[in-house]
Amino acid sequence: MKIKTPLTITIRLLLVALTINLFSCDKNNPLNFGHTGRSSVLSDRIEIPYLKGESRQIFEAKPSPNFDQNEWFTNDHCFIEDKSGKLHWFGINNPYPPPGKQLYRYHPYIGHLTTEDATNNWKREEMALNEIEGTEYLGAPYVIYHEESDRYAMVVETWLDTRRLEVVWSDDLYNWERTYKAILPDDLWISSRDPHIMKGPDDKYWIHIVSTGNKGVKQSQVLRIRTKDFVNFEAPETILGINDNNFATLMESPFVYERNGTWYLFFTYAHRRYTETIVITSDNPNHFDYEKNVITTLFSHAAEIFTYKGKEYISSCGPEDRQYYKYQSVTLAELGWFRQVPR
Amino acid sequence: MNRRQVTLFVLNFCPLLFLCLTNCKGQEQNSSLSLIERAEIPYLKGGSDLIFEAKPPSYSDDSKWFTNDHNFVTDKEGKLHWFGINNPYPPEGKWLYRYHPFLGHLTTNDPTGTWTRENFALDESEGTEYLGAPYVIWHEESDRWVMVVETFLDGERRMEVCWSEDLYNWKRTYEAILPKTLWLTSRDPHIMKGEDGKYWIHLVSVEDSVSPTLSQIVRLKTNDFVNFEKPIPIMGIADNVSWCGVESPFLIERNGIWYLFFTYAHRRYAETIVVVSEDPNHFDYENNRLTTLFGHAAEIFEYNGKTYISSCGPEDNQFLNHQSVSLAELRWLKQ
Repeated sequence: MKIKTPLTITIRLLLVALTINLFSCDKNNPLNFGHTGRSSVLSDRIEIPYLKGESRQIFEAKPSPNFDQNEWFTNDHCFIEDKSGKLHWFGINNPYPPPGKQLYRYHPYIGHLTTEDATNNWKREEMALNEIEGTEYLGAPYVIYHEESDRYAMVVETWLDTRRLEVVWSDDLYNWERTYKAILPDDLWISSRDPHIMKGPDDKYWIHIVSTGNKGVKQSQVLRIRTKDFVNFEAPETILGINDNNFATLMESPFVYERNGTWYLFFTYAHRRYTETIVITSDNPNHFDYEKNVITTLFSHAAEIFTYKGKEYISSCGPEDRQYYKYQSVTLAELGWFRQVPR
Repeated sequence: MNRRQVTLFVLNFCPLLFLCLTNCKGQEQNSSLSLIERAEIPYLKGGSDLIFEAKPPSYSDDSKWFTNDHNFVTDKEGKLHWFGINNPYPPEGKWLYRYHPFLGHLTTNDPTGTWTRENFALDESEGTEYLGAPYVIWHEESDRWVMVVETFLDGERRMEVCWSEDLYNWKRTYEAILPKTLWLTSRDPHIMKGEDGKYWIHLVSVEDSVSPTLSQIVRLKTNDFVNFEKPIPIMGIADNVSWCGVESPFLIERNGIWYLFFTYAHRRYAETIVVVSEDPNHFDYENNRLTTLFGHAAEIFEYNGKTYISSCGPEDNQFLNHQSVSLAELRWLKQ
């Protein structure tokens, strides 16, 4: 008979205990390695975004009940926190068009609201931009702090000679000074739109827009334009292309996001289904592969993502999809993330 | 114990005790979590892409077609069947939600591959021109397939039972389910066999004896699809929508937690809300909303080891004309 030494017994018991722990599926257990560590394979380390609960309206689209007799809507927008910690919303914010005007041409206002509680108590401020007496067109805006000049920069679609992207400046987020100069007028397709801006790892500001025809390719595209000063702009680079048509972009509202070393591109496939937000991942922020790396589809139109007071949110909006409830203002849900467990 | 025995005990059992305790600590934490924190999160894996054209190839006219509420069922040979609202957009003078002459039927052995168009399961193009949302399930007690579908009986929208031996030939009963009890446009059936051995038919309905009125999901129980127990509400939202703000309920039990999916279609067309409960008889919308998914009239089914979730609907007509059925794989995330 073979005698078990104390060491053998100890090793066996340790193996049993380790097995129990490894199969426990408790991610808080420090000995559970299944949820930690960084894999070199993209699909093993992507995280899945999801809406916590539901996306509820945070303010009325109409500036005040007696403003006029119209119903109002919001569309593409952005959120930014100022230096005092106040949260600002800037976005397309208009009445539905009067007779003779068209929904996607009659866009006189960029709305502005502020709050200190993302889901409540939004205060209506003066319109950030107002073209009611002018071109009657202001499209999607995006506002970011430009640390090099200690000002806020807005990139917004305006009507110059035609639809163009323009830079607007502000010291305080309340008073805005337009430049009336088109960004890359010779390079960009006329309805290039829906800017998202972030500071990239190259320390340049990355302006992401939807477009078509970059480098002569007729497809739906998300482009990146790099700039340091919002005066000089580099040539557009295509970071996503979908071969779904040959005359326009069927995608809208891109939003690029880096999380734990992986890049996530959100966009609305609005000309397929209005509230369908697609999420694509990549190891390389310069290239997103729609055919191979779509990780999920979320409910939202023109979703924007921001963090405020420790919580991350995702928004929705839009003048279409008018149902009984008239949810044509901005709605918000908390955004959660989960690591995908390999099957 | 002598010193050697004490040493042996420490060497052998202390690590085991430590490791078991760390494991148990996690389990204790889990049991103290709220229902929302313990629930698994469903999500669409990748995109929800079109699986077949809504228009039957035999129609060579220039009409556009759509699908709406539908369901999937696997037959005994393993073939997957789709049954659903499947119509042309209405001709001039007819209304989208009244001109519903056909109930489509397609089959496949690959949910995201090639689908074969079969004859319409039901056809009222020469009759009432109305067939609403269907649901088909195997009725093991009578060894037949049973469909509950909204039809037009005696000039009113009603829920009716149809039977089939083979999923291809359907025999209507022309009898309304609970005609004196059910609200007239109760609709969008989902059927499952409940833990009490009865078939649970879930419908959307309205409680209009209160103010504000309640959009409801109700359950009818039956053993034989001939006799039905009175409807029991399992969820209500005080939203004052007279024709019911919610649509297309779908109930799943998973690891002891119940998940109720429904479309909040009269708020936003493709907004599928998931509410969780430990009690299949009561879902608390205000307190237990788990997540929101993209999908209109979403149906969930398993086929060849994968779970899928669908979307559909005649509204939201955009350039790419996705007005047929689209499908994504459905996955669940453990928190």
